[in-house]
Amino acid sequence: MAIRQGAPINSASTGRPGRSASAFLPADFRSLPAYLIKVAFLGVVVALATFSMPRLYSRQLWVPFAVVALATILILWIYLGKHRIHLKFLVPGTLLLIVFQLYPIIYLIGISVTNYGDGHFINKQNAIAANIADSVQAAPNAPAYSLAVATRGNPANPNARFVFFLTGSNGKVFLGTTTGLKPVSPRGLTLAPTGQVTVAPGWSFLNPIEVNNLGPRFAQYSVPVGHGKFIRSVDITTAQVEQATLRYDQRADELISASGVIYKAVNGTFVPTKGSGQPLPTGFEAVLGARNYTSIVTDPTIRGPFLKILAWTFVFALLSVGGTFAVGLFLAVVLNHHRLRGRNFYRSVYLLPYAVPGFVGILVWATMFNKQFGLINNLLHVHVGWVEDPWTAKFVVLVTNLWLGFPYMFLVSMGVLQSIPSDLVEAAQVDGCNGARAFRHVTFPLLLVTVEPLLIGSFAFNFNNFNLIQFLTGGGPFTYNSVTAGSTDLVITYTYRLAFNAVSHEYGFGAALSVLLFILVAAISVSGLRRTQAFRTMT
Amino acid sequence: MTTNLAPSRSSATLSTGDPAYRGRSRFRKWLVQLGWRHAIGLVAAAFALFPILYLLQTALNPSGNLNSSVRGWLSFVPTHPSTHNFTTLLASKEYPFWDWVVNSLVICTVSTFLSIFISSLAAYAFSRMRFAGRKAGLLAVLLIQMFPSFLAVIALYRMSAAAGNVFPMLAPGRVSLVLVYLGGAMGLNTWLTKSYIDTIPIDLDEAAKIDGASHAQIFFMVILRLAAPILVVTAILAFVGTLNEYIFANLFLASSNGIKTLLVGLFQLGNPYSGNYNFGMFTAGALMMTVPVVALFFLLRNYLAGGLIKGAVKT
Repeated sequence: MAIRQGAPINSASTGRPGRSASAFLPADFRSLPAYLIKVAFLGVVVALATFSMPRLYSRQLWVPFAVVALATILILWIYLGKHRIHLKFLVPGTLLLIVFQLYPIIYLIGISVTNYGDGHFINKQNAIAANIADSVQAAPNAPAYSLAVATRGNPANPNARFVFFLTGSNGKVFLGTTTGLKPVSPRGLTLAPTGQVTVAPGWSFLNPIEVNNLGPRFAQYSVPVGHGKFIRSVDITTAQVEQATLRYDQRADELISASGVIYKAVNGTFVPTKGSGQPLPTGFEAVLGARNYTSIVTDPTIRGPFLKILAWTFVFALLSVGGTFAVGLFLAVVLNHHRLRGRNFYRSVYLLPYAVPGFVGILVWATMFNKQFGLINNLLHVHVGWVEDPWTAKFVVLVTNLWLGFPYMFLVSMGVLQSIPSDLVEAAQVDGCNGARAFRHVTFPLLLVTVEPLLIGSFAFNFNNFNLIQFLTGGGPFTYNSVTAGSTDLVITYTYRLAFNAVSHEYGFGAALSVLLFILVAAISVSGLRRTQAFRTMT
Repeated sequence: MTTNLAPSRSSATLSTGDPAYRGRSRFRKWLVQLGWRHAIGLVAAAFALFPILYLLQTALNPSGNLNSSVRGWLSFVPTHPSTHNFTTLLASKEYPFWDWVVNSLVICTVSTFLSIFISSLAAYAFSRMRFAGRKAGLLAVLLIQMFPSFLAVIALYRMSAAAGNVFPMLAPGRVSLVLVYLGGAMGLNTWLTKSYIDTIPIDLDEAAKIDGASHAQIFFMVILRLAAPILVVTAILAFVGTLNEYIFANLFLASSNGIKTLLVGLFQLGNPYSGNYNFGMFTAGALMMTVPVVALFFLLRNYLAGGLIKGAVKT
């Protein structure tokens, strides 16, 4: 080392330029525009941080605050340093990936071990309160009151604070607030013939429209009168004493009904401890552990349709990849003849289905296969309900996907065929191979090396080909013995329906299914990719 | 097509010296070598074309009535072409077609440009630098994209709504939609670009380095220029992919009284299960959407084939 120190070692070998005229500038200063871009970029980052952090701090949003702070420090640390060059290139994409892809995935994995979904959206405390509120009924022999709503503020403001003026059957007037009931002296009051107070000193009364505008604030307004009873409105002019039939025993953590039925929370649902009565309507979000996952295997009502759908998903993906590749490659081989005229014409025509936006093609096919006014039935002079029968519907899905997918495979195969040196094939023919054998033993293996990763990518894509199924058949047809699982459903469309159906929202179970789906696709893709040449050369 | 060319005379009447026979044998040779290729090519061309011809015809069919648009083989010929469907769609206030177009163009252009830039930055690092976690990173990038992310809309929507409480700009809308799309910037595109950069000789980088170029300069001046073919391909695929995205676009632009994207807007017209189903208007809109995309594909078709293959493996 000591010997080399004095040697005129050139800067090129270390990749660093020698300092000459720009010796007074920063060591990594190489061009003014690049430097300005860097300064501008970091300036924007710092500006965003200084803009957002005080806001997050004042709202006490500590987690976002910490995330923004850490991200800013990380960016400055990376871009102001001279090393960590690879991070400078990777950070923008990685940050976006973490926030918009990784975080939602982790969130979903979290949901997948819960029962989050219909009847289980809220926490336990709110669920107890909701069940008690739902159980409210008019108390036995409940006194009724004439009701008027008044405010100290502007009666037209639907957000103003208000109170109830309640007139008993004996003509006595009470002021009802959320803290309780207290009598009002009759001085200065004017009562309507039906009992409602219409004038009281210092109060403005709301007209029926204004009361109506209060919405749920009015409907849920309750005046406690002790012993678990309270006064609530029946309509806009009358109120009555009501009572919850359920009560919560905090020590035993039970809800007890007036008739003595005891409800205990099991997996987020309040079920009766004895007998087989109905559970309470409102449950809460609870951690179920692996139950969502195990139920796919253990619960026969889930396992049956799920296995059917999973099998079809595999069949569909394999047939789609196999079919499009076979057709695409066949056409490429047939048309790859140096003396064939119009090759450009064919190539252009086959490009069309690839270039047409996918959903346009899918909706056109859906219309062509329509039973009443579809073109296919019209041309064939038949009256077939293509998407009404499980088997023809599967056929429709595969044909449409063949149309959508073969151009891509053709394009790729054609390109690869043209890039394979022709002397290889000629050499094989000199060695006595006929055309078919030369293709099988020389051309095809060479082609496969190139397209293997694309085939695996295509498989992964078709495994989750949501748009095709959703827009073409909607997963249907649905038969009598499987109402939720359609005949052309892929796991992904089935899961979508579970989660975003008009009638049910089983997010927890849906999340578990999508995690499972991810593991399946990832495992297949990785094991497939590992075998390919491309992967080996990459690593 | 080939059957039309076949001579109608029976071969038994011809002698070998007959010039018609020689013509016929040449034809037979053509048939064996090339003719059957054309036959197959034309069948496939018919398969590729007929939904597109049907789309074209329906769009030009004045009535917009489905029953009248299906007339056997005549369904492929617009017998009474008119622009009725187009003018109805463009004049309708309920379906602001041009607003959808502008909206989609803005969203797709911004997200494509940014995502290609971000993805090629990462591709450069993955291709040219060796660092801990490179292999795992490449694999992770590919695998994360395989997560069926539509369920994640719940998480992303909640996140966007929560952020919107503090920063109104981030509430569900165009900005947050583009950000969500950018989450997928590092994905398959990064792989394609990385594989392509692998094929660019490293000597070029070295030469630039000797000339005193920094990594940033090598990236902008050398790599980005030489990788232009794959950038064109990934940009088209990203643009069309964004144009075709339904779930997020539907959710993020639905809540506000904002404008829909072209796809979400057209889908309500083209979905047979929707109350607004109007196939004539749908085909008119779909055609106007399809023509520029197809034109783009045609202009760049040579890049496309080459880019897809070169991106797939190092050669």
